[in-house]
Amino acid sequence: MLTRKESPHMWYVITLVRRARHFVLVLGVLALAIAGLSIWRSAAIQKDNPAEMKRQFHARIRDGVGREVKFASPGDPAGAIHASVNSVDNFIFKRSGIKLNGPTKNRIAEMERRALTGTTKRVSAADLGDILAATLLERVSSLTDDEILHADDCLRGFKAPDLPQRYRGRSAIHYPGYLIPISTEKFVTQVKAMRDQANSPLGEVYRGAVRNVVDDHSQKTLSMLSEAVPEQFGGGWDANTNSPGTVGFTPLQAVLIAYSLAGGDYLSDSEANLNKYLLGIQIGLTRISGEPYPRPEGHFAYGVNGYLDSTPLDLVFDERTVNRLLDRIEERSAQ
Amino acid sequence: MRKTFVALLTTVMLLAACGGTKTCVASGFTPGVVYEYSYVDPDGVTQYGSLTVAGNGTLSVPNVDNGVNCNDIDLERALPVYIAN
Repeated sequence: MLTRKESPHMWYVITLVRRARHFVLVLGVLALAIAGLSIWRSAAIQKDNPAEMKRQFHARIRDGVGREVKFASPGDPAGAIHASVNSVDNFIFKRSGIKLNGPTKNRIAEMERRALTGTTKRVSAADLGDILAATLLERVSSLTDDEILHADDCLRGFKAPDLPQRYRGRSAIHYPGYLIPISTEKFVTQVKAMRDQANSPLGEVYRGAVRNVVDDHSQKTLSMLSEAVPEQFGGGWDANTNSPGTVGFTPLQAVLIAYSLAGGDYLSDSEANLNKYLLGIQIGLTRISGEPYPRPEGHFAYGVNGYLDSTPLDLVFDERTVNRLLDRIEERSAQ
Repeated sequence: MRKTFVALLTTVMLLAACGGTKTCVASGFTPGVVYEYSYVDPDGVTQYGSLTVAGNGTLSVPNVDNGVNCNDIDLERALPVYIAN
């Protein structure tokens, strides 16, 4: 065996090799540690599990409309029918600030009674699509220039004096499932064109386009509601076959569905849980932006300047439009 | 020769550890809240996505190019619920 004394040069090479091995070993361990850390972070990330996401989504809808809205049943007395109308009215108000007036609620209650007793037909999913599209188009055709500007402003999201700068001046309009980058000028021009061409041959093109969007969105909404809360909406849409149900929707159900579509509200979460959700948003956006995000107290989740989703509900779910919706429901429901 | 081999082995190991993408994780969020996020990738393309905050309060953005600084990921807004596409 060589000793240092006998072969210093060789010992130096051996030492270098040992050091190199040590260096490689350290680097190797470091590399593995980094790889291990990366793997750990990836493994720690819960990959989207579609089935679980859907289950949680449905649970939240049951917690919302499933828990806080009580529809009446055939044979229920008038008092129960009025209570069901009030439960829908309160549900909508707490979430969006929209309140139906007394005469409209009485009208809905009477229509609901006739549907539950079988005096009138219930509204099929196909008819509901027709009714919603026609009502929307009629409303668009009557919008003033100021109302169109207001709609654009609403659709650009929540605003507050203390909103951090990075959340102001949005270049896109938002609606659940849709993010449309469009300037105010273009939006206003296009909606005005749709309004002004309503009675022209071009109006047919617009009507077709609106009908397709309304159909697509309403079917997704009906499918979602009937799956999540089949005891409430299963009669109008069959979640198993994903096609119109055989029973149809009552007028009150149709009004609630119209609100859901108009307000971008999936009807999820009880009042308490919705408030917690909004507070969670405030915490998260403050954390990520580094600036205080406005607190949700004093704001509604949905509707005009909704904290969660801002839509011009004051234009498309006002008393006049709701009553035009009811007019069309009555026409289709006549036996 | 041995040194070259060692250098090569080390490089391969380091490259294996790094990979092309990463997951950016931030904590301290409220579980269940859904956020829409965005960031600009090295090609200048804005990437959008939506994610739900996990039960432990972490928000994780996967498959982020290594050339992106996690601090540049922006939370655009919160969504009512998570809708799978």
